[in-house]
Amino acid sequence: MSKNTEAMTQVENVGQGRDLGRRDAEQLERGPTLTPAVDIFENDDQVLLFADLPGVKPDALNVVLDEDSLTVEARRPWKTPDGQETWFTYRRSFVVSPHIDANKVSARLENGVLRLELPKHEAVRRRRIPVS
Amino acid sequence: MMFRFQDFDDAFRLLDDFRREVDRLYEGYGWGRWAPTRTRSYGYGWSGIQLQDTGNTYELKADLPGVRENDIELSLENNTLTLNVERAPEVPEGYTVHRQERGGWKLARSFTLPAKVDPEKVRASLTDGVLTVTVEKAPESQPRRISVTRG
Repeated sequence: MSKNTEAMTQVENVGQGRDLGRRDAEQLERGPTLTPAVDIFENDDQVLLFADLPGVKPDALNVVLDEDSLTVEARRPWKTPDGQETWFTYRRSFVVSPHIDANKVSARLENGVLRLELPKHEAVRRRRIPVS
Repeated sequence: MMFRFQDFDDAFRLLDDFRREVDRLYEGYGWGRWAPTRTRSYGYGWSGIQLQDTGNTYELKADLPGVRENDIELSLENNTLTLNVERAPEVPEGYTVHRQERGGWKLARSFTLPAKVDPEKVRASLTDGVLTVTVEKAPESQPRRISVTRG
């Protein structure tokens, strides 16, 4: 049981199974939607998230934070053996606690790894109270 | 005969695909991460590694997010391309771990290339966490067009 409040939990991407099962023409052309692996860490000041997004360039990456959820979505170009240029999608969503200060979230993509820093609001940061 | 030959082919192909999927899971690329679909690449399916014969070259692509050039051991010997990569798990100090799926892994793969290659003509580059290795085939292995005459 973690001693910090869990500032982030994951919303299971419910559509995932359906995406894969469906084999309509559009889906085939577009390629599958994959769930990238993530690491999530937390300390008193912020939540830190790493996601493996190989082959993704910064302009093909969308990180969207709305009221209570964070979505990472990226497109990766892919060339099939018969020479067709297509792409597939990485997508994953998370529920974000209101402890996170949305204005201070920063994202960086380097070597195919996304690093997201989600600082907590000052008011909720854990602090030691000095005892005299 | 209950089955046509085509059915056997299909059945074996399915088993073969399945075997490759299981191989992929066990090779340590990462438990818990499910890449659902095969692309139509021949060779190794969607394991983050793809070897393709482009006609003039062999092209190897490997997903190596978060890996630096120095951590990659790549060699070509006697027509066999060998790749050794290790990525250590990074846990930042002072943080609690909520979820750790990326983990650390070790990748060790060897590919014996079917047609003779030119060891002088190999290029390898790492971009956005994807390693691309291009090996040119030897002149005698290059595909050649055969013209058909009316006879």
